[in-house]
Formats: sequence, structure tokens, C-alpha cells
Amino acid sequence: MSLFWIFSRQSFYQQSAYRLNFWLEIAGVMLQIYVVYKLWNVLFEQTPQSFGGVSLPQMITYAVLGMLIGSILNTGEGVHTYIQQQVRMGQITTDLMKPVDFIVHMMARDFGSMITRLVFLLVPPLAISYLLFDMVIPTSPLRIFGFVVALAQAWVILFFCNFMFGLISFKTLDLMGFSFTYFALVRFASGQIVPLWMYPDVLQPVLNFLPFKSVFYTPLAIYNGVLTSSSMWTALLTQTAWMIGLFVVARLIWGRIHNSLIVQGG
Amino acid sequence: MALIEVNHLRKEFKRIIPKTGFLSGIRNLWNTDTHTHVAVDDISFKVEEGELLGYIGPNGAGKSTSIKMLTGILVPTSGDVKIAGLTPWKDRRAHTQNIGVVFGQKTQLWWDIPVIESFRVLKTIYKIPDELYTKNLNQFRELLELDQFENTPVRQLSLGQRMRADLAAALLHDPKILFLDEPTIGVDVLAKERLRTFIKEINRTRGVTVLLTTHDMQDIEKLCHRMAIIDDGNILYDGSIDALKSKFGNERTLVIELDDAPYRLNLPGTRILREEGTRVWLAFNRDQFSASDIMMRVAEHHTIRDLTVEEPEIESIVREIYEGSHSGRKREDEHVPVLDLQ
Amino acid sequence: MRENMTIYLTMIRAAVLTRLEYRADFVMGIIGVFILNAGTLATSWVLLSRFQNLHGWTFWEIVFLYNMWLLGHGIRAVFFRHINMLEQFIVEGTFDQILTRPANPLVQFLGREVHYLGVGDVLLSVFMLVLAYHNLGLNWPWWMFGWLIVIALSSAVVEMAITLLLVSTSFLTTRSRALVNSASLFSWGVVQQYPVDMFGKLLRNIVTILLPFAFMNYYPSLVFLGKQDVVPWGFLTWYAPVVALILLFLAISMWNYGIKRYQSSGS
Repeated sequence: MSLFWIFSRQSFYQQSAYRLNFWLEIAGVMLQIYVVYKLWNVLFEQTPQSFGGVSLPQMITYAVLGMLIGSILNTGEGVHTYIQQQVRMGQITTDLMKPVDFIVHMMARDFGSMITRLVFLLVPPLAISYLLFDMVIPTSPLRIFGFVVALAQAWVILFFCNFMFGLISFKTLDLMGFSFTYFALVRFASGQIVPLWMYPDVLQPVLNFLPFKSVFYTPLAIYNGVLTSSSMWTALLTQTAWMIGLFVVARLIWGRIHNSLIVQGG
Repeated sequence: MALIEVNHLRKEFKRIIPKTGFLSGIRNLWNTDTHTHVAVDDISFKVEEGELLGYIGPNGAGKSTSIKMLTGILVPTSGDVKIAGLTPWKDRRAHTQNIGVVFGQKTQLWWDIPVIESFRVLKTIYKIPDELYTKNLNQFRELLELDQFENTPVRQLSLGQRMRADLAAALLHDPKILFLDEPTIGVDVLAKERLRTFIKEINRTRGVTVLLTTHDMQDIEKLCHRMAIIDDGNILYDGSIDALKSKFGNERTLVIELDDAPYRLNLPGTRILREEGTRVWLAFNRDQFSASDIMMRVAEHHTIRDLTVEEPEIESIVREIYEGSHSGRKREDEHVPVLDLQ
Repeated sequence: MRENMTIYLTMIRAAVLTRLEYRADFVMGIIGVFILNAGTLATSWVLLSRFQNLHGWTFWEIVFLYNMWLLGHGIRAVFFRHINMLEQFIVEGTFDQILTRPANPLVQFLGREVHYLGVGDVLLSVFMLVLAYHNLGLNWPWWMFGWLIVIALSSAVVEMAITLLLVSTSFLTTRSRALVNSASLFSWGVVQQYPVDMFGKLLRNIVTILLPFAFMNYYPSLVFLGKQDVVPWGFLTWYAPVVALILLFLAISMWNYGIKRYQSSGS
């Protein structure tokens, strides 16, 4: 377990090294928050009845936090881009020689960078948003607990999605074309920008069938109070099921790839 | 007037000092501490037309910074350079017509297209007249055997072939001066020999002045009439290679093959470097003794079957010079003398 | 000028030959771009199928707005995508090579690469613009189609010039990526898919004056959609080409200043 922390720490330091980038990234996040804030205000003013009983502060909370969680749970860069780079440069074997399980190693790296982004990119803009906008604060300890668990599970789910997506590069060497598809799919199907309850009914079964709902929609809807009591527990258990399912599948696929790598001698 | 005149050239860089220690990652967010790094301190030299000058020094000595100033890429902090009457960074565009540049580490050709296509682009960029282009291309085809691979993309060439193509590319516009930065790096022995022959050939037949940086002392010995050694932004030595050898390389090695090994003597003024089988290597100072002195004194006690005298290797001399300059710097405020033997 | 053009075209020829070596990327690039944009448009569709209009813009009007942006963006991506990578050119020493040659450094830099990805953008945007034209029941006089071509080119120049201006800071810091990324958020995060006057004065002024990305699609599309009299500053709809030229001038000045600084400070 200590190796986990070493890799995480290393990743944390790498990410916090460039100062100008940091301030600019904060500014970029604030801009995106402002855009979604304005968007939902305009729409709420136009047709409040289309929100189906959800209040404006609840909606703003969802949108702002959706933006922020989107900047820490990342599909643009992560374990998949790392695997692709290593495969392309032919250096993946050096990762396999490290005295730690590959998936654990990858999770540690990802965890480090996620925590860095959480500390630097989620907490400050969220604090500023609370000062500027009217947003809901989850007061009941159960809801806060539910949110933290949901966020942690969301990270694990997205990690395994990214991980398996990255494994494609063992076959194709390149992910570029696929990554656009993946990126677009996650953005659309996760409810990160528009809450999933607003999607037309025809799409609902499809959305329920994908793991991405658990990544953004679940933590967000728990936080802003749309998912409560029994529906919250159902959502959390669904996440757990996805987590276990994806873990098992990822292990199996990785096991096969690992074996074939050893047979080829790297 | 010399073709290249460099006077008191100096270049400083400002760098941010990263914080270390407690919460360094966070404190670096607003860090603005800088320090001035002197890459080139004070360099002066001249190169006459047609010379082949070796420019050597350890990594970080200021070699590439000074080359960048000579090629017009960087503007110096102070000092002056005149090359063929032009100041490289002020008359950059006119100057680049006079020079050809080859960086051994990085090709200047287009990576994915056939060599000949890169040449066509360079022809347009340098505005090379058709006649000259054809003439030069034909000559390089002959000298460098370009036809073997001129229709192959650069990424598929061997390193030696790539260097040949790069050399041809740098010479297409008939430059007066050729800057070669590590032209033989990573190239195998045979290909190296071929590159050297070519460089010598164009220096001789076209009168192209060559300024060459390298880590390979063989390049220097086989190619250059003269060398400049640079370290810590200053020139430590500037002169001919023979003069360097006679000044610093006063130690010779006598290799004696004995009929009655092992060697049993301990002659004053000599040092046993190595013994192997019937052979023994003796180092001596040739200002104090001659090789025949030593030979005769050995012959009084041993039967000599064969013997040779070895010249000092330039590499070890250069290493001694670097080390000398470093130990000199440790004695603070003492100026390291520039050794000019011309 | 003529000399620069000859050099540029010769270099573009080499750049095209380079791309042809990687034909497989072409198909992947086009498919990828289609899906990526379809994803963004799908989100707009979900929103507008619920709310009917956004600040007075209907779904097909938003589609028009979006694809005006995409058309300009696509053209610039085909020819000038690599200006974002100036930092890399500098770090890897490619830029030093450019300086050892007699041609204009900007011409050499711009002519260095062409890219497939933009081709998908251009194809998709033209198709979607036709679709929007049809669905909105538009009926333009003939000259407006010519004006659309002018606007497409000026959009490309606007995006290219703003990027070049910002990326020229690479010469001073060799770390311009974050700056360019944050600034381009105003492009793909704001201007691309939203009518900018819905954001209030501050943000509208930023994308009109400071980082005038709104001249890529928002202002020009007002006249195409007959909205120039109903929104504030509607008259700006005619000024996109002028803005493009001013930006180009500023970008080239910044570029030249950057090179000067680079040559004296190095990296």
C-alpha cells in the first residue's frame, strides 16, 4: 500500500509544478461556471415550468458542480492517454517490470492526479461559486456521506472505463479517432451538462444501460437533493455494481493482454 | 580581414529558481526568484577563409549558445560578431544565405517525404538558380551516393544516410561557411569515415570554411587544422593541434616487447603503465629523455624483441585541460589563463 | 509578397505529401470529428427540445450559429492547426532551424504542416448549414452566398490570428499552452454554441473586444438569419472581415516582437 502513496505523491508534485498554468486553469474553470450559470438562469426565466419542480438554486448547484467534477474526473487525459503513450513509445514493458501490480500502479497515478485537481481545481472555484451564486448546501450528514461515497465510486468507475478504453491502444497503437467518440459519448450520456431527467423519454433506457450515468449524474443529483433516501441508496448500489462489474472485466481483459505480452517477450 | 571575427562575445540567461522543500509545489505558484546564468562569458577568435576549425567543450560549456549566436539565432548580451562582413543577428536573412547549418541531433529535412522533395523546398527558400541547383545536386549525388536513397522518406534512412542527406541539403545554396554540430554522432565507423572524407573534400575543392563541434576527437584529428576548446563560457585553448600536443602532450609511451619477460627494472624518470604477457608500457617525459636513451638502458638488462613509441591521445590531453581549468577555478579569484600558442 | 507566396505554396506541397503518408488517419479523423460535433449538437437538441428556444434562438438557428463557427474553425484547422504547437517547435529546436534560413520565419512556420481533422469539420459544417438553411425556410439573395464565403474565410482568420497572438508568448515564456487553452475556452465554450448577448454585457464585451471570437459566428450570422436589427450591436454583422484584418496585423506584430525577445533572451 505504501507504493500506492509514493506513486500518488509523485503525480501530485508533477501536477502542481507549473504556476502560470494553474491560475489560467482556475480562470478557465470560472468562465465555464459562469457560462452554465447564465445558461440555466436564462432558461429558468423563460420557462420555469419545464424544470419539473426543481428549483433554480438546485439547478445551478447541479450545473456548477457538474462543471467542476468534469474537470477532475477527466476523459481528455488520464490512464488511457498514459497507456497509449507508453504503448506507442514501446515503453509499456518498463511499467510491467515495476514491482507493483499494473492496475494498482495506474490507479495510484490516477488517484494522485485526481486529488491534486480536487485540491487545486475543485475546492477554490466551488468556494468562489458559493460566494457569488445562490446554491444549495447539503446539510443532512446522510446526504453529505452519500455524495462523498458517490464521488469516490464515480472515480473508480471512470477509472476502469478509461483503463479499458486505453487497452484499445494495444491493438491499434493510436486512440485519436476513438477518443473523440469516447469523449463525446461520456459527455452526452453522463448528464454532466444537462441533467439526465431532462433527456427525452426515448433515450432514457439507453442512458440507464450505460455506466456513465453513475459517473456524473449520481453524485450531482445526490448533492443537490434530487436523489433522496431510497432513490439515493438505489443509485449508490447501482454504482457499486458497476464498479465491481467493470473491475472484473478489466482484470480479465488485462490478464489476457499481460499474458500475450509475456509470451511475445515484451 | 578574417571571414569570421568574434570579439568579446557574452551571453547571459535569466532563469527562475524553483523552490524546494516544504510545500514547494504550492509555493512555486507565485515564485519569481531569478538568477542570471552566464552561458558564454567572454569569447574572441578569428577564422580565416578556408579554415577547418574544431570547436569543442563538455556539455553546457557554452558551445551551442555561441554557435546559435554565430548562426544568427540568438542575439548576444554584449560583444560583436562579423561574418563575411555581416552581423548575424542584425543581417540575419542575408547572413543565412552565406551559411549552411547541420545539427547532428535533428534533421533539417522534412521527416516524412523523400529527400529530393526536401531539396526542392530548400531550393525555393534559398532561391537557388536552376543551373546551380542541378550542378550541386549532381556533384553531391556522386560524392555522397545520394541516388541510392534520394527517393526514400527521411524517417526510413539510416543515421549515416540521413547525415549525408543533411550535409547535401546544407550545401545546396553554395554557402561560404558550414556549421556542423555533432555531424558524426551515433554514426557507425565506416559511415563516419565517409562523412569526414566528404567534409574534407568540400573544404578543399570549394573552399568552404567549416566550423565543427564534436565529442569525437577522431573528427578533430582527422579533419581540423585548428581547434578551440571552450569551457564555462571561455576559450581555454585556441591553436593548432600539433602545438597542443607538443605543449601538453610531453609524455610519450614506449611499448617494449621482451624476450625475457617479466620486466624487472625500475628506471628513474619512467613509469610502468601496464604489463601484459611479454610486453610492457613505459611512460616518460620526452623533454627529459629520448626514446633511445630509455631503450638503451632497458637493453642493458633485457633482450628487446620489438619496440614502438606511442603518441599521446588528443582526448586525454583535452581532458587534462578541462581538469586544469576546474582546479584553477577552485582557487578563487584566480584568473584562468587563455592559452594561445599561435 | 510574391516571394513569400511561392515559398508558402512550395512548403504546403511538402506538407501535403507528408500527410499523404498517413492516409489511415484521414478516415479516422473525419469520423471522429463527425461524432464529436454530433455529440455537442445532440446536447443542444436535448436542451431545445425541452425549452423550444434559447434567448430567442430556435434549435435550427443554434445549428446555423454552431456550424458557422465550425466552418471557420475547420478551415483554420486544415492550414493552421499547428500554430498551437509553437511551444513544441521552439523546445525541439525546429524553430532555430527556421531562423537559420533566409525566408520569412512566419511563412516557414505556417507552411510547415497541413491537417486532416479540419476537413471533417468543413464537410460536416457545410452539410449542416444547408440543412439549417432548409429547415429555417431561408431565402437569401444571390450575393449573400458570396458573402458567406467571405465570412467563412474571415472566421478562419479571426481564430488563427487570436491564436497566433497568444501563442507568440511562447517566445517569452516557452509555456503558452495554458494561456491558449484558457483563451480558446471563450471560443468553444462560449461563442461556439450560445448567442453571446444572453451572457450579459461583461462576457459579450470580452468576446467582442478583448478576444473577439464572436466575429467568427455570432455577429456574421445575424445578417444571414435576419436578426441584425433585433439584438444590440447588430450593425457589427458587417465588420467581421475588417476585424479579421486588424487581428491579423496585431498578431503579426506580436509574432515579430516575440521573435525579437526570443533572440535576445533565448530559452
